[in-house]
Amino acid sequence: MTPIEIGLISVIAIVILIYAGVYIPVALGMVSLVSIWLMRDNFTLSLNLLKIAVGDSAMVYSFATIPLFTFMGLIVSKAGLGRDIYEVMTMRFRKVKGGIGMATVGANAVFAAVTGSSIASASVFTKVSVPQMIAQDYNPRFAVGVVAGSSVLGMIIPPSAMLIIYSFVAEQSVGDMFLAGVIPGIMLAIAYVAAIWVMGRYTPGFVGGRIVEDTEWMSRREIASKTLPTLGLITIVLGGIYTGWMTAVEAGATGSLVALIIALTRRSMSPKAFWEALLETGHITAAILFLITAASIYSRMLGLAGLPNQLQDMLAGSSASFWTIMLLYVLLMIFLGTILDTASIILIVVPLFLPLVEALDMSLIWFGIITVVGAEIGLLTPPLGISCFVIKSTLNDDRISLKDVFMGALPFAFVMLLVLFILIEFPILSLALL
Amino acid sequence: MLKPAISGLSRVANSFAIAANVAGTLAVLMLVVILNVDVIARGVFNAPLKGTYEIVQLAVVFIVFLQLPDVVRVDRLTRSDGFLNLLHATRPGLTANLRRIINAMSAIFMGLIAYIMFPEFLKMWSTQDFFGIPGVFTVPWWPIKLVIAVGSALASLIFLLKVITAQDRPRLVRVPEHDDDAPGGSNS
Repeated sequence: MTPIEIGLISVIAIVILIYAGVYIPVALGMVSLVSIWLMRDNFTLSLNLLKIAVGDSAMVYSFATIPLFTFMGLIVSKAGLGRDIYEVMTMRFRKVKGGIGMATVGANAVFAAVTGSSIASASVFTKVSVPQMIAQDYNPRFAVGVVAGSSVLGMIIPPSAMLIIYSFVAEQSVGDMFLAGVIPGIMLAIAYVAAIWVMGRYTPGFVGGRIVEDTEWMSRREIASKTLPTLGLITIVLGGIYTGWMTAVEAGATGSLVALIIALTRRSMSPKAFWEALLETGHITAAILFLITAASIYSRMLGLAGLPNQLQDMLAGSSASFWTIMLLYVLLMIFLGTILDTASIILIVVPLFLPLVEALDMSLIWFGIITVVGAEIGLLTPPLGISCFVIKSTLNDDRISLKDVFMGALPFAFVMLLVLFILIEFPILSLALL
Repeated sequence: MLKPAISGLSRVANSFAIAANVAGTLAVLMLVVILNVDVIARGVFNAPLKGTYEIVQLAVVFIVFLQLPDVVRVDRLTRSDGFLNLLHATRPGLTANLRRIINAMSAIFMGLIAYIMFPEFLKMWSTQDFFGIPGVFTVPWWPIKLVIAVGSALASLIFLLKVITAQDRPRLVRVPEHDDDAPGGSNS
């Protein structure tokens, strides 16, 4: 067998093994190890590559962004910042058809700017938003759909774990990736709000809900106390990175400290909760970074097999237009999104396409945004829509089935796809802030 | 006779994993503290801390490989087990064996990492090599290699015990651990 064939078979083998339930880093590492062994007929060589991959890739300075932003996100969820933003937003939107839905999107967008995970957003907003919407006679499918759809914002609006992971694979600066995510994230939030408005107008049956007349307005003071902490945190983190005063790592550390101070002044943090947040941070960090470590041996294997270059010759050399290539790429992302989680998709697919993107003179930062948005669509589609699973299990309500969650999320997945095409056509949207 | 030995070994391995986990957790805390001290020292007193860069690198390795055994213990290593859960409904026996095979494969992988890292540790221990900038701040290599070797070995052992005891309960979804009841903001 030629190295290319071995490489191709290993990619397919990895996807099958992951689908069968093998731990993703183990699947990546083991298959790469064996295929390097087969390609070079030298087991010591493949062990040496494993040694270098493990030793080197765990030593990257910017890896520290992962524990720091995870920690910050956990602290702000515990401090109840998500609920506060949600309350202020509901007050603003309560007169509109589908208003709570729009408020959920808005609150998610703001909350996303202080957490890096869709899972955190999904579990927080399932608890605060779904019961309220159902109490106001909204269609349960719509209620869970909104939460599922808008939870995706957590992964696109910085700080985002997926943007960090991409920046490692593509060797881009974490700070640049964060800044690139701002406009696409806001765009997606606006597109969701517009979609809810359209649904409320043309398919009121799907939205449901009634206008609530009890207008208890919050005082300015209350609004300020509910929004200023979050806004301050966003300003410090993104502002620090944008002005270049802090690296992404330092911004993460400062953000963690500020989040901790907010939580302490609100007395919403017990020593036990603090320790749990630290433990949870450690678990998430170890899982993600070990995955990245395993992925780095995989990309070395691909390089040895020459697969990325082959792909580049095939696609760039053929008469395929830019849009044909991008459409194929998006289809691949959506297909993989139905069986794999976002981080694995990025780690498996991106190394294959990097030479092609470079050869076509496209921006790697723009490509990262396309990749993350494309892979995130899979969070909303069956059978492995992780956001939907989290909502279903957090909800703990037998009247709403997993199918309802998926059906409710479908319109939002479609809106994401539209936004994705706009982002592909206009790279400036991702690159304007750099 | 074998059973008590296995469960005893399992208890020992688990308590090691939990201890390593605590150490790794403290490394997270150290990371937050060191970086903030550095930012403040640099911004306010214009005197950046020496060696922050090296300490951050060290802390990241410590967090990953000290936490890894515990991540394995609580089955939080990234996987997508949708298919396994589906299969469990109709063929529970087959699923249990499949999980055994997966754990065995994982034990081999972690074992290989430990196997190639341990000689590295011995080498660094005898040469006392270091990284960083000589004269400013240096860190010896050996603790890094040791932590990687020991963490992977422990993770491998826990996987192996999972193969033997077949304790790898299938669950429908991995609910996030921080399944917090977000307290109702400031006034609660």
